[in-house]
Amino acid sequence: MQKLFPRQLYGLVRRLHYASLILSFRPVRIVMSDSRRNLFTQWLITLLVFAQQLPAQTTALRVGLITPAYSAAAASIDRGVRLGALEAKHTANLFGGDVLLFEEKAAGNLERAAERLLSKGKVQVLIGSSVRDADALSRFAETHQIIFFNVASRAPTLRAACRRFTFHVEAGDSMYAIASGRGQSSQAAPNTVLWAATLERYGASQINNRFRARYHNPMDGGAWAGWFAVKIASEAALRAHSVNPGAILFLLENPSTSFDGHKGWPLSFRSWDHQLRQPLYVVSRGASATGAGVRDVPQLSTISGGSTGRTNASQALDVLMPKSAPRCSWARL
Amino acid sequence: MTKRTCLLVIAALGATAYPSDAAGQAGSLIAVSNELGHTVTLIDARTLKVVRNIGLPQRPRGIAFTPDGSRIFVALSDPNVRRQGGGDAIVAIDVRANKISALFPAGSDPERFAITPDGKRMYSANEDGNSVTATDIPSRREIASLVVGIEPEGVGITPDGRWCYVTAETSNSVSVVDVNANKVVANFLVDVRPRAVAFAPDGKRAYVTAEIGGTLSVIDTKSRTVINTVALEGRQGKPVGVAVSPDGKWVYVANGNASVVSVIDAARNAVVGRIPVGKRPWGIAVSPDGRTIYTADGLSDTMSVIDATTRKVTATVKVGRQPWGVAVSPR
Repeated sequence: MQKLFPRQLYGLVRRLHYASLILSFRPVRIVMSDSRRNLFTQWLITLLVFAQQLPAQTTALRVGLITPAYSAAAASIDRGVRLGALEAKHTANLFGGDVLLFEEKAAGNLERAAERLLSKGKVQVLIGSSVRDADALSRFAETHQIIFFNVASRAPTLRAACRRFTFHVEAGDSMYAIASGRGQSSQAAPNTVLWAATLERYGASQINNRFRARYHNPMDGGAWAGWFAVKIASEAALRAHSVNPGAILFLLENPSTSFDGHKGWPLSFRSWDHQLRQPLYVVSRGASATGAGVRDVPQLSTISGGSTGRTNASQALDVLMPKSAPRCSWARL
Repeated sequence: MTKRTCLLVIAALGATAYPSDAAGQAGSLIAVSNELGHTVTLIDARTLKVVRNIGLPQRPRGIAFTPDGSRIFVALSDPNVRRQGGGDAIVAIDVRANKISALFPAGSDPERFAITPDGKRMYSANEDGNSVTATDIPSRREIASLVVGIEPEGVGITPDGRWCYVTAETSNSVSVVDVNANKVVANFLVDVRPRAVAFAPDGKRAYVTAEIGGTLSVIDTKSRTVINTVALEGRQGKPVGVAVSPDGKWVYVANGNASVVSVIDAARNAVVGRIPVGKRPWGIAVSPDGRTIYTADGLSDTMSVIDATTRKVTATVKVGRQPWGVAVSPR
């Protein structure tokens, strides 16, 4: 985006665009007195300044969030998404772009809420904070070819549906079960989590601090997933130089693409089931507020440079991949 | 800055001096900031003896000598990483007197900073403020606060003093500040989670480490574009500190997770050597004559001393708890 639209060049193009609109592309010979000329110049400058302040529509990533009537878990995800959008906007603004968040309450009619986000918000990315809505929104996103980030559902059925435009930031049930040492088919222990508010290393304390400062609540797994989904979407758009869902999708599927979720690992999506590779955390009963008693699975210390590579990092994280993970045959776009 | 910090620093201003025979020659003194120990360790580069440990009121991280070598600047943050803005400042340690001689405003949570070659201005990254603060050193006044990416960390100034580069860990960005105008004039993306930045002596190349990407981004400073991305330690080394040899031929990177220093041939942008050092090296510095490399080994509480010719560790010096940064006196 920076290469294509350096801020100054982008501003200049927009000024010329609006100036050309004003003059209707016709060479106009204007004869006027000095005072009139000054007035005209001032008016033109005012208009151009106004045009400059308009949102950069062509480079704005538009994210839609659908929230349920009320759910504590969903409320936490919502907060994460909002923080993610604020931070993504900050970064996008550096490059002359923007990130806009549109919110809709499902309020009994999920399809209509999603339609509103699409028609009015023109969103390229969809997130739903209710676990109940995940499958329907995934289906909706597939139909309309926009990216859907699953940040709430652990259901294997959603993963087995193999929808090309759906990416799973939340870990699957089996991943939790494997991480908690209970095998692939049994239930995960409740103390195995996606994120812990006591994590400190690799920027974890910084994002935990930012979340706590804004919402006066600890960042839990849902909040982290919401925040990270927006971060992934906006980074992908920046690196792809495009907010087009197809361009974002190809970048997310590229095996060389990785993201920093402040977990210390390069995180990437498995190309065959769109599940985010990531460590989970097992929290001991006596875990302290300083992060002691929180164990990462797999442990980051198991890879320490040398002969291991990005592929090996992915392989190391795939210890959490269940044998039942689908091998999707994606429909061609 | 809080009242508490002021009081602690004022108390520290009265610290007693020590005979500083080590000071005065290029590369004669090495300074290590110890993040957990809240100290700066001064080491005689010739004898490798610890000259003195200077206690600090807060958590020290970024460390650098002033260009004339007369003072050591140290960035201080609140010891509680969960608390923001508790005791943030940059202090100056007078090398001759060996005591804290000045206190500078540096915005919130300063981590790394850089001083212009004329010694008149300092730029510090405000990690929790998404900004970089410009401070006028003679008057000790903050003169600008500029918006950069999220979680800014690395700060570097081109050898001609014209441009300041600021990395941002969450945004994966580098912001370019025009030092004359005190304005951000460009931003560009680098690899994932950029940490430190260093420049070639001729200023034509900048080098940025990416901790999660596991790479070194090589930047053409004229076009401000990444022209090469060098994979380090199979991308799993967690590179942080970076330093360039005075002749510009070699780039040295401290890989925190691999406990290895990578040697990169700057002409080919290729890794040509790996030097095992202490655990979790972050800070790295090269002596002015280019013969010696030093690393601050965070989990060994040591400083490794490397012979740049043989690329072997020749000595290990015990310093304070959890060393973070290392700097060598320029004269």
